[in-house]
Amino acid sequence: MNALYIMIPISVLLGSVFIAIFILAAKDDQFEDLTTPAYRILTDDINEIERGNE
Amino acid sequence: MKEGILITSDGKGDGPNQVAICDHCRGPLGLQGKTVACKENLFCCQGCATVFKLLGKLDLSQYYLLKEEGAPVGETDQFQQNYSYLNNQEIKDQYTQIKEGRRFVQFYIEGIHCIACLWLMERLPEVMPQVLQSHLIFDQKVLSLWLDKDCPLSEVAHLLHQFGYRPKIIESLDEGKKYKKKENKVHLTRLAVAGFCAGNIMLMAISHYAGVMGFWRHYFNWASLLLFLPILFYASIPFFKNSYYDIKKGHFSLDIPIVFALTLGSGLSIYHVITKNPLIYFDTLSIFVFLILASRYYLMRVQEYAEQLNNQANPLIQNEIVTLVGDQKKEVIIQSLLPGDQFYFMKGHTLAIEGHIVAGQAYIDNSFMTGESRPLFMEEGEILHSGCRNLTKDIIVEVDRPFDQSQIHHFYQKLKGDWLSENYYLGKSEKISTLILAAVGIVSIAALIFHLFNGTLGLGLNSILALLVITCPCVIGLGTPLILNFAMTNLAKQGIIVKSGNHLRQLGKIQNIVFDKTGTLTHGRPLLKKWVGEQTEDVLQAVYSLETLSSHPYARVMVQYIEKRGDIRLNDVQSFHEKLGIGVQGMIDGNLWSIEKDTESVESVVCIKKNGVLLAQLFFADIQKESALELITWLKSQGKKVFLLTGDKEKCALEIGKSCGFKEDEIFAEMMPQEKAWKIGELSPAIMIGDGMNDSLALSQAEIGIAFNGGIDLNKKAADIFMQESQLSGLKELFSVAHQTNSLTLRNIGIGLVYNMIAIPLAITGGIDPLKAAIIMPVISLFILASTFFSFNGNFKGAKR
Repeated sequence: MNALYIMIPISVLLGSVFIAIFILAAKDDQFEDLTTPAYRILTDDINEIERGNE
Repeated sequence: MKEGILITSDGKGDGPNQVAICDHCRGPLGLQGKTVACKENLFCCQGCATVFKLLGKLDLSQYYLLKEEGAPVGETDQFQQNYSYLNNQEIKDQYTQIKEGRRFVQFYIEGIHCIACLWLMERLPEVMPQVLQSHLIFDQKVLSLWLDKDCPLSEVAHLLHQFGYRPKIIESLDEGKKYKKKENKVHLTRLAVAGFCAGNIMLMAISHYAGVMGFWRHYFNWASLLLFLPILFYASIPFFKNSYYDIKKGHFSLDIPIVFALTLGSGLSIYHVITKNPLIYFDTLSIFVFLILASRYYLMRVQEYAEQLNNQANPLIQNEIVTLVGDQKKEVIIQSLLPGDQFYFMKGHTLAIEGHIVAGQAYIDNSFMTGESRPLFMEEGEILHSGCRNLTKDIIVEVDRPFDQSQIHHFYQKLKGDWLSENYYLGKSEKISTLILAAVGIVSIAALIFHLFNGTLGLGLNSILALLVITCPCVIGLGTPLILNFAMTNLAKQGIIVKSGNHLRQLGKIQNIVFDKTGTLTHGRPLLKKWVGEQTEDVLQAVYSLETLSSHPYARVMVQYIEKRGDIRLNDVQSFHEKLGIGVQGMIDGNLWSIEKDTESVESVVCIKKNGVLLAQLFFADIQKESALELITWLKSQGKKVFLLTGDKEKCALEIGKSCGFKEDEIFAEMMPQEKAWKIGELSPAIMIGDGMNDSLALSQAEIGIAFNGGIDLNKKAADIFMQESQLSGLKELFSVAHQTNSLTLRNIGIGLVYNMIAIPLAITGGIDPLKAAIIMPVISLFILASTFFSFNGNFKGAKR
């Protein structure tokens, strides 16, 4: 049981880190547009082909 | 382009078994009777060839690798749109912003289809160095551009146009929208914090239920207290704020009991933690806050989505650009015109001022204002009302009254006033849950006083908390928004936009349904109703050859009608002559053909004569949509009362009305816009379904206004519900969904009432302690939410088949 002394604060701390990351992401407008980035990835293939040619 | 060679459709193909396709749009070749060849590539039209070459020149041919098979391309039309008005200082001031030396502008791009479009849009900076950054929001079709400060906007728009897209400049975020966006983000953050803390508190609460005692119990209590603080002081801020404003304004809302439960619960729990009393309720309270925040966030998102579809970037007519008559051909915004100014009133445009024709003749569609389905032929000196549309030819118009004195402007003002005075409608479930909560409040205060005098304060607080928790408004307060959200999102997917859930709920209850005729029950444009007389190859060919040369609306109907019948050849027409407002005539193979209006008839009749001998009579009318009769019959069978209001002539209204299933006393003809609004007022509460400009007043007057997309932008603003497609079947869907929504809401309220009637006495007498209440409440809430979800989804699938 004594391990809980440390484990609970650590787990809460870890969780807080993720919450902080989430808040940063929300501030950065990452949840404003959920579809375009998914499509944008697909266009990367083309960009890569181009780079290969150069 | 000019190098493109025109070859015949059957001249070239890849072989007998292969269908030749266009290298740009992948459509079949030779559809319009021609193929354009350019080097080794083949195209179906000049437009496709132009785009293909442009992309090649700009080194953007990878576009074709990304394009999905079968995805349409931007329409490459023949219209050479002039974008030079975008360089006007007024436009720049109104639509763009300068930040850190860069100009920010947003376009709504018509014609965005697939990834290839996205790729192309975001390649703009490479193609045009003056574009510093480009960013497309795919769903909304909104392209944000950061430009060099001196970059002419017209060039950007022109480039987009050359790619085959139709850019429309839109006003970037105003203060209100920016604030809303920020609120959204903050709400999301609150939700995340609440979710995180609630989850952890629940984990720690397991130790309670597992029976941990002594030191470890206090350890967990303190840990959950710490985790609860962000929920109380950060995530719950909106509840405190809202109830503060509600109390100040003197109405009662769900937020007040939420705050009451929160303060009482957390106060008691914190006190218990400090005094080492084992009873704490952090888990209940935190999950309670999280659930309510989540449902509100979902509601907000759905409403935002509906709004987005609603506002889809249609520039308002008062911002239309016109060219002034004069040497400089200056382009100005129509609302800045002054009396005496002369300008070109272009084909297809809508007039936002009042004036008269100075030169030229054209067919004018006045149906927005009067509902008259026949376009009027107007010439020099005649007066044009605001809201009319020019159907045929560019004419010169002199302004008599500017925009701010026009009738259209009055409509705007009237509608604006209506929005402002629109009352917040309290739905049945809100009323009931408010009642329940008020009762709970009174009972708990009474209990508090009772226990205070009895000296059993601790026991009293316990039973009050149990009461507050067990009667959680979730059951009713959350269930209803959820049903409405399901209904609204599902309808939105079918192109029916409901502005708020309350409208949907009212829709099922209101009995009087008023229809507009032109454009709603009918197609809104003249169609060929009857062809009496000869219809031989000879006649068809002559009519086709003559009418393709005319720009009259009827001519187009005739041409389409004949094209549908199959192969037809164009004959040479000699000495073609068009008498505006009457008809056309010309010589074909030595015979004089004339297709002219029968001026004596009341109906719209066109006579076809060969060398003066009458061969056929064509009857034109605005005929009803196929499903009109079915819809009206269905509505009547549902116990609704239907009415038909129209600005059209009595005879016409009766004929169409009866064939749609209306009785004579349900039809009201020759109504002016204002009269329509009065009639709606008489029939109140009523639902108005319309599309024309003349319906705007009536739409805003009615309890629920439903607008069809055929109508102009203004109507969408006036209406509470609007449909993107002009098919009547959508209405049937809308009414059945509204009906389902109401019956499900009623069922939930019923369950909630029964549950509360059992739970409240139990809680107040101490039969249930707060811990048990905390288990029962979520279980019942989840049961109601789940049953709502499944029955609604089931119903939807059933409705869609």
